[in-house]
Amino acid sequence: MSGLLHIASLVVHHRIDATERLDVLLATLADTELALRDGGRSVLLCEGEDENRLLERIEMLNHVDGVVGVNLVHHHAECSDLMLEEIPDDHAP
Amino acid sequence: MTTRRDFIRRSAVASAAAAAGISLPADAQNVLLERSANEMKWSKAPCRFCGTGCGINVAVKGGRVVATHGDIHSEVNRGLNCVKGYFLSKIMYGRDRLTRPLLRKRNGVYAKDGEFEPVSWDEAFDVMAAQFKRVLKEKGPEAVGMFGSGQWTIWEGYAANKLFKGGFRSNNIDPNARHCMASAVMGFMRTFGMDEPMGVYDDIEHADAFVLWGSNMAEMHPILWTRVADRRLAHPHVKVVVMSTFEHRSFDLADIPIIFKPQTDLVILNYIANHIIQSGKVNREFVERHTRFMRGNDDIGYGLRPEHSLQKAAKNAGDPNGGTDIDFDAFAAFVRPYTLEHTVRMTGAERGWLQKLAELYADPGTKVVSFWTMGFNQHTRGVWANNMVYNIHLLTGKIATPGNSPFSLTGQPSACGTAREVGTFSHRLPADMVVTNPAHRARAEEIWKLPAGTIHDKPGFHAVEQNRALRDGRLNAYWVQVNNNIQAGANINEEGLPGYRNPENFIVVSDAYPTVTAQAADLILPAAMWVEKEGAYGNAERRTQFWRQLVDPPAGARSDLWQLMEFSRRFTTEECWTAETLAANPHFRGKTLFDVLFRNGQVDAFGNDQRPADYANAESEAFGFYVQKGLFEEYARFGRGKGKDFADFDTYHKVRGLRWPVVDGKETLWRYREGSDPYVKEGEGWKFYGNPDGRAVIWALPYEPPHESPDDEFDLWLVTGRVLEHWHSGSMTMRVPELYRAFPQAPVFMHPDDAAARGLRRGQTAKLQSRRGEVVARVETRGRNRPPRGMVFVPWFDAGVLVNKLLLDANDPISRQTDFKKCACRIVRV
Repeated sequence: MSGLLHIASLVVHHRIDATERLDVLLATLADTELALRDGGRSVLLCEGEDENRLLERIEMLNHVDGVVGVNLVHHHAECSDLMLEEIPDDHAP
Repeated sequence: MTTRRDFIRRSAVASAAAAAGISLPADAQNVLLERSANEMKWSKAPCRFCGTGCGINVAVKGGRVVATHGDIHSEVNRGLNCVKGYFLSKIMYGRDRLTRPLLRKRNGVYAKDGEFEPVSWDEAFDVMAAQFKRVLKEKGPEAVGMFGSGQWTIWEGYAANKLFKGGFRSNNIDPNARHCMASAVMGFMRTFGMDEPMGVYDDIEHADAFVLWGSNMAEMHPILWTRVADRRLAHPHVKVVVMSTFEHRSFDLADIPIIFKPQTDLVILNYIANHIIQSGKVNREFVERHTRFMRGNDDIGYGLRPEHSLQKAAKNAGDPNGGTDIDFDAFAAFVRPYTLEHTVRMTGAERGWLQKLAELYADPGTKVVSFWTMGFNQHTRGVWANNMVYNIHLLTGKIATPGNSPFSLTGQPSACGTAREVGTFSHRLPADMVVTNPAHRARAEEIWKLPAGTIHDKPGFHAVEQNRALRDGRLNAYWVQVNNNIQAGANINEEGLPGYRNPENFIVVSDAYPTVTAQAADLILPAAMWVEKEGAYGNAERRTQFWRQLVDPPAGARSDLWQLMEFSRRFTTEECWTAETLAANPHFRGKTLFDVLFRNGQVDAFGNDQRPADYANAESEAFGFYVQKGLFEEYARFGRGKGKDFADFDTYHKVRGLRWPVVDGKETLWRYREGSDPYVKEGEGWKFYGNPDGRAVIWALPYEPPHESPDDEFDLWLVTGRVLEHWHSGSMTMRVPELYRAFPQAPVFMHPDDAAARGLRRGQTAKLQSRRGEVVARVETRGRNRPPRGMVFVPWFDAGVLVNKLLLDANDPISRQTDFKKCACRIVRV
C-alpha cells in the first residue's frame, strides 16, 4: 500500500468471441471496470491504492483465452485526500 | 463542480479511447487532458527499450521523471504503451545506481587483482589513459578496442566511431548489435546493396497476411502486435501465420500455427520458393526487370576458431560471402528438391499448414508482410535466411508497396539509427560505407577533415573475435559502453570472462548500474541514461527521433558522449598517429584528439545560443558549444544525396520523428518504388539503387545442418530469448520493483512429459547442462512458453541464471552474429 490513489486506463484487444469470458472476469474485479467497448477493443478503468495490483490485473487479463494484448495508456497517482478536492468542471453540461 | 478524482477518471478513459480509436460518448468528449500541464512539465521522447520506437510523453516534476504516457501524437504507438514503457519513469531510480567511478585498487594504486574503490573522474581517466597509451605504444592501434551498443544515442555512436577509427586509428569497435542485427544487415547488403527495410509500420494496416518467422511479437514487440491484432480482428479475411520452434503467446492470434525443428526454416523458405515456381505464380515481369540471380557459396563453416573440426571441414570457410551468377532456370532447378514431402519430413511441421503458408505467398491477390527478428538473425545461416525470405517477396513482386513488405524488426532502440546507420561495426563507416573500400575511407577522411590514410583498411575485431582476442592477449585496452556482454554473450566461461580477467588487459565498463559485465571490469564509469541527456535514436522503420535532456543525471554520473569527448582530450596526435602522417600534415602536430575530432570547425560550429533556454544540456555546457547539433550535422553529410538523407537537426526536435530518406523536407515511406521514393525516376517502377545495376539479387542457398544438435549425451535443444516484462539482460527492468515481481527469476520452460520423464515437477529446481557448463533454474511446465518435447526455452534477463554461458559461440560466417537459438543440453535433478 502506497497511500496514493492510482487511476489507470487500459486498452484490451481481444477476439469478439472472448468478450463474454472477459466480462466474466471483470465481474469478479471490484477495482476494474469496463468504460468503453468497440468490437474487439475494450477500454478498462482501474482504481486502487496498490500499484502492484495493476500488474496483477494485466497478467489476469492477458490470460483470458482470446485476449491478444493489454496495454496501459493513462496513469495518475496522487494522495487520496487531494483526489477528493473539488475543482471547477470546465465542461459541465 | 467536480472532484479531481472524477476528472482524472474521465481523462484516463478519454485518452485510452483516443489510443484505441474508439469514439467517445458526447458527454465525455471535452475532457481537458492537459490540465496537469500546470503541475508537471511534459516533453516528448522515444522509449528507451526495444526497436519499435514508441513515442512517450515524459512528465518532470521537481527534477525527477514522475510519469510517462504513450504519446497520442506518435504515429508508431498512437498513445499505447507496453508494460516496460509504462514503467520507464522508474528505470533511472534504482537504488544501486552508480554515481562514482570505481577502480580496482590495492595499496592505493590500480591493481588488476584489487578491489573496487571509488575514485574521482580525473583519477579514473588518468589511469585509463595511461593504460591505453601503454598499449598503443607497445602494440599499436590493433590492441585497443571498444564494444558499444544499439542503445547509444546517434551522436554517442558517431563520436565513438570517430574516436576509434579516426583518432586511435583502430577499427576494433563493434556494437552489441552484432548479436542482434548483423545478419539482417548482411542480408540487406547482399540482396539490395543497401541496409534497412524498404517498408514501414504503415504496411500493417494494408496487409492481408502476416507471417512471423520465429518472432514472438506479442511479447517482444507488443505495440506492433497490437496493430497486427487490430488489423486481423477488424478484417476477417486477414490471416496470421506464426512460425516458431516452440509455442508462445503470439500463437493466440495464429490462423496458421507452424512448429518446426530448429534450423529447418531454411527448408521451408526454399519450399515456398519452389511452390511459387511450380504453381506458375512467379511475377515474371517484375523478376525480369528488377532482379538477377546468384548461387551463394555453400559449406561455409560456423564461425568457430580455425582449429575447430567444423571449421577445418568447411570447404568455403575462407569465402563465405562469395557466389556466382546464375539464371532463373538454374535457380528453379536448385530449389526443385525442396518439395512439400521433403519439407514435412525435414521440419516435422504439419503438411496442411505448410501448404496454406506457401499459397499465401504465391497468391497474387494476397498482400503479405513477413516479420522476423532473432529467430532468423541469431542463426549460423542467418544471412541466408534473410536472403531467402527476400527471394520469396522478389519472385512474387510483393515488395515495397503498401502491405507487401519483408520486414526485419529490431531489438534495440537505435540498432538501426546508431549501430547500422552510423556504422559502428568493425568493418563499417557511416551511410553503409566500409573500411575496405578506398573511396569510402577517403570520403570519411574528407568529411572528418583528417589526413589521407588515417583510417585503416582492414576490418577490426568483431564482437565474438573481441572476446577471443582479449582471452588470447591480442586486445589489451578495452572500453565497453551501454551493454552487458558478460551476461549477453555466448560461451562466456571459455572466452568472455577469461578475456576480461586476463592480467595483460585493462577493461573499462561504462554503465548506469553494476551489471555482471561492470563487475568483471577493472574500471567502472557511472553513466547518465535516457532523458538525463539530449539524444537521438533511429527505429526499425528508418524513423529518426530526438529528445531533450529533461532531468539531470545523479551527481557524479556522466553521459557516454561526455566520457568519449573528455577522454579524447588526454591524447595527442603524436601519441596516436605515425610520424609520417604528421610530417606530411604538420598542422596537426601538438593537437589533442579532442582538437582534431571535435574542435574541427564543424562539430563546434554551433554555439550554445542555439539551444532552447528551458532545457539543460550537460555536454554542451561542459564543452562550450552545441555538441549534439555539431555532431549530427557533420554526420548527416555522409548520407545526403546517397539515399540516406536526414532533415536538419532542429526539425527533429519539433516532429515525432521522420523516416529517411528525407528529401526536400518530405520523409519516405516505401523505398525503391516510383511515386514513393524520390530516388526512383518516372517510368522505372521499382529500382533497387543500392546495387549498381538497380536490381535486387535472388540467392540460391541450401539447407545446411546446425553446428550442434541433441545426441545421446545431451538430449535436448536449448533455445534462449526474452519475456515481455524484461528487456535484454534486465539491467534496467530488473530494477523496477513491479517488473521484477512480475517475472523475478528465469525459469526453464519445458514440456511436462519431458519433465516427468526426468523425474521433475513444475517448480522444482534442476541443473541445465551443456558441454560448456551448467546453471540451476526452476522448472516451468505451464505458462506463456510451451516448447515441444525435446526442447527447453530459458530467458536470459536474469543475472542469477547466466544461461548464455551454456551456448557455443558459433556464429554466422558472413555476419559473425552468434546463434543463441540452438545448442544441445540435458536436464538433471539437483
